[in-house]
Amino acid sequence: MYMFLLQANLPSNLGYLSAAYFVAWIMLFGYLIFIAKKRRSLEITLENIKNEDKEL
Amino acid sequence: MKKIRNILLAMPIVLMLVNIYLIFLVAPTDINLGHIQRIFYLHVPTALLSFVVFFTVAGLSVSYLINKNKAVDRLSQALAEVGLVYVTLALITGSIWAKPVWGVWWTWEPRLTTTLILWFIYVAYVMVRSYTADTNRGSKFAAVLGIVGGINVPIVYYSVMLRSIHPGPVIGDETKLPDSMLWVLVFSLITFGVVLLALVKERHFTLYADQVISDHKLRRQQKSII
Repeated sequence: MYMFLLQANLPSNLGYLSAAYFVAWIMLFGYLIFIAKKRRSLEITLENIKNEDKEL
Repeated sequence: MKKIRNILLAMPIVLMLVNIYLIFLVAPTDINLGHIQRIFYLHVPTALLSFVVFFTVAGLSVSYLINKNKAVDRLSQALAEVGLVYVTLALITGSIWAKPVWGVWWTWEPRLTTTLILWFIYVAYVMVRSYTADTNRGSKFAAVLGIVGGINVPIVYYSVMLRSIHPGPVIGDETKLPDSMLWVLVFSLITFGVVLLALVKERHFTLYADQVISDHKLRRQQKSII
């Protein structure tokens, strides 16, 4: 915190900095959501298969 | 089992929060570049880890072409996909960093160009798997691309020795990085490594479940024909 405030007179480019971290978080979360959705639908399909097998 | 999975998923989130704290509040501000240099803690780990991943994919691809082991193929696919996400991040963050420092979003210098070629190889890897009707043929084509990608990794790494404006390696004997920055970078590497492993693990499970379901459907069809 101390370092951050002490050197506040340097060129900040905070817009670019926040853009980089924002893009990174969006991409990682986007991919995580894609996997989580896929996992959920596969778990449902597996459950259905198990139930169908029991009925047979 | 579900409890272990939840812990494994929570660990990267906790590490990521600590990592953000270290990057923004503990790591010193670069005397020449200012705060924009903090992109370094995101750009370097994603780039380095993607190189490690693509090397592993190349090794697994060779193994798959020899043994035709489906488990190896699945792991290779999961790694390649997450690696592609990481190298995309490295390219985007590098471009955002380049604009205020070099004055351009992109320049055709050796490191950037070879990394872009690597990115295209892995986009092709993912597309070949998605668009080939015969999964076995798709796996074979992807394995060949995985090997080509692996060969490209050292070319990308050593491309800074050519007439490159991109900075050289920061970890090693010639490093001039102060300790206060180096250990934040190491922590960031560990964090992104754990995130990578968690993503690969989850993606690998979905690929495995997909395989189980399609095998089951095939068996059922065969039974109904008989």
